[in-house]
Amino acid sequence: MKNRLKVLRAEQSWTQNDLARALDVSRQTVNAIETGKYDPSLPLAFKISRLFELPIEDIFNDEQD
Amino acid sequence: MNDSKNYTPPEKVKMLAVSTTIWLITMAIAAFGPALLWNNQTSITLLAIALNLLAGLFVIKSNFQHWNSLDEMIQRVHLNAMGIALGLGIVGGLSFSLLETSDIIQTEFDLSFMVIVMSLSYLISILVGMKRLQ
Repeated sequence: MKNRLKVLRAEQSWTQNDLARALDVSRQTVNAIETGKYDPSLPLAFKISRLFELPIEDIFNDEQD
Repeated sequence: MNDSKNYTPPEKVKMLAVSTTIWLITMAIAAFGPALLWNNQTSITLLAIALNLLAGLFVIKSNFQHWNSLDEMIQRVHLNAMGIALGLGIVGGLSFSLLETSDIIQTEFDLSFMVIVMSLSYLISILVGMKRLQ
């Protein structure tokens, strides 16, 4: 699954650590989501959506590599 | 902002380490005490085993709390590792047992072999799982 997390984070000038703190997950998890190696659970996806005030489909899309 | 949630929260790791150490000490006492400390008195041996069991329950509780404190991705890595360790332990242990009962190998099956296999496979699975997600 592709996502725009890295771009959205950069727009806020946040580090991976900052985002991890805001989402209450580890920095490793943020990195794995950004690089597409891990797909977040639905609750975490909603949390990301609320944080960036964007619909989930504007952040994630199920287009395969 | 402050540091993000740690890969393994220190207080939960400390609790797990303390409970595991206590469990190991009670295990050693229950294993070697009858011969070395109290001359095989059954009542004291039973008490030592009961203490070991109690400490074991504390380890399970600490392990559960530690697992719950991890974030969802790390939990998944641990869950995969548990599945691999359990699978290898059961499949490997039963195959070894079959080889022994069929007299194909002469080495006597020892439960500690299975514990070692499961522990190492769990450890390696976690390391590989984390490496794959980096």
